[in-house]
Amino acid sequence: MIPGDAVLDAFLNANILFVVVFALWRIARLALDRTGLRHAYTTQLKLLNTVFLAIVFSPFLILGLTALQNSLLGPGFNVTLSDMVVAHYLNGGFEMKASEFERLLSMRDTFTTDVMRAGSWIAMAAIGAFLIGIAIGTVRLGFSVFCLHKIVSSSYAWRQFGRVKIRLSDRCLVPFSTRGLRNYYVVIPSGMLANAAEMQVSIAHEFQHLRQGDIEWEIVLEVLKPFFFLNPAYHAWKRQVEDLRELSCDQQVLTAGKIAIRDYCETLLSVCQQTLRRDRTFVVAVPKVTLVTADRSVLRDGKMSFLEQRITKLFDARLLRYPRLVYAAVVLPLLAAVMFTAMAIQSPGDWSHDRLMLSTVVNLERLEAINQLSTFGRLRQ
Amino acid sequence: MRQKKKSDLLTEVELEFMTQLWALEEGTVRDVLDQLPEDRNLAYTSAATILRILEQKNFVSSRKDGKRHIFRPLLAKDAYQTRSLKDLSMKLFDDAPASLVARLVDDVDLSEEALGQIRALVDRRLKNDTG
Repeated sequence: MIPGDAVLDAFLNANILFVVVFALWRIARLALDRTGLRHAYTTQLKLLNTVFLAIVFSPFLILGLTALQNSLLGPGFNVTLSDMVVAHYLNGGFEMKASEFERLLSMRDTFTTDVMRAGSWIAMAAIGAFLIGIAIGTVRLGFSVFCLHKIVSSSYAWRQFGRVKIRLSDRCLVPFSTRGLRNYYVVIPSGMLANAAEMQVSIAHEFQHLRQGDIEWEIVLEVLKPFFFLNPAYHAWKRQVEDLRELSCDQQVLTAGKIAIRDYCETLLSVCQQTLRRDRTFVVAVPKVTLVTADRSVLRDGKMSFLEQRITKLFDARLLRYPRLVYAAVVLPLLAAVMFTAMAIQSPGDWSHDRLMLSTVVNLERLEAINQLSTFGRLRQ
Repeated sequence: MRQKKKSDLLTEVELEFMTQLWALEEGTVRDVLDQLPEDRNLAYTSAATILRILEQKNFVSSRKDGKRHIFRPLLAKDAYQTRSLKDLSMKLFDDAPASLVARLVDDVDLSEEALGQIRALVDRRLKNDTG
């Protein structure tokens, strides 16, 4: 059985990784923008999804890498961040009291042990807040799935292509797609039957989501959300995936050349207008992938809405000439960065020479403090 | 096909179709399509789907006549009007029909003749209830 502290450690590492890698992703995206790859939305989406997988599976990759490192370089070689900082400290890189430095280094271990033993009121509060957050997130997800199930099951079967079922609903105003255990469902508002152009755009858009595997990614992101609800990087990550998913989908559908850009834009605007009417049952329904979502908060703030951005970007839609090459060129350094960060934030496994040295310095500091005291515990004059 | 839970209200397009069927009393998909304005540009298959949905919602029934399906309304127009008004009264006027009527009287330019008709309707209703 996996010990609890190992799970907690892996969870903390995943949280740190999300923050660090999302910052790296922003830098990578800036570099892509500068090199004329701003419109490579499909490649960017694939990159983000690959890195996400690398983070989720990082504990297993770390196990493999540690085994490899031990067999090739020997167990004494360490690349963890804390070991590097200790080495830097011992080389006189910065000045600090040794005991203070050791306390700082062991802060994470102290917190982990505290949480595992529920030893202090801070640990108890952290555990309580975390469990309540997970419970709320899970109940919300369950309720959303239930709502979604109700909308799909109350819709009317229209067409079926293999495992993809197209259904018509009079309960939703926005086309969306989702999946069950086996079948995929594309749900279109029944009112759209009266508008052939909107219907064509909606079906093409939702089918592209199915091809891109967006529903599966959305399910994974939604299922993990209750566990990372406290991590702002995770929420930013999810928003980024949602944006890129739509931009990529728009680009792919339009560059296929079967749909006129005017029809596409008009459908987006028309459906968004419908969403701005009250559609409360639909707002909570996740995990699903919709044609468009009306961002009311942005409208209020007077900023450029995502829909506005989307429509502006539609006019620049063009496919990348060498998408795989670009993908490989960016994913390799990103994956290397994920692995390096994952290794660096590991808790040190064993006592290294540097750590022994630090411990000795701390003990000498303590001895010196004791030697300064008289027999009766007063400072010697 | 599995029968769905009955949906109480019609969508905009469904109402458009029901209005034609109420006027026709019964008809095929083609008959309904012919009644729609020329610029409506609705495909035959889409119209057939809308009628099929109406059938699943129990608003119409169909019978086969050779290769054609003939549709007929199951719910009368005035019955749907009542249902629709009840829903409006419940959702928008806190389930108080009096506020709905008050709003109508306040906002709509009612002629003396129309007001007279309403008065007669109220008198008739009161007479029926007490008599």
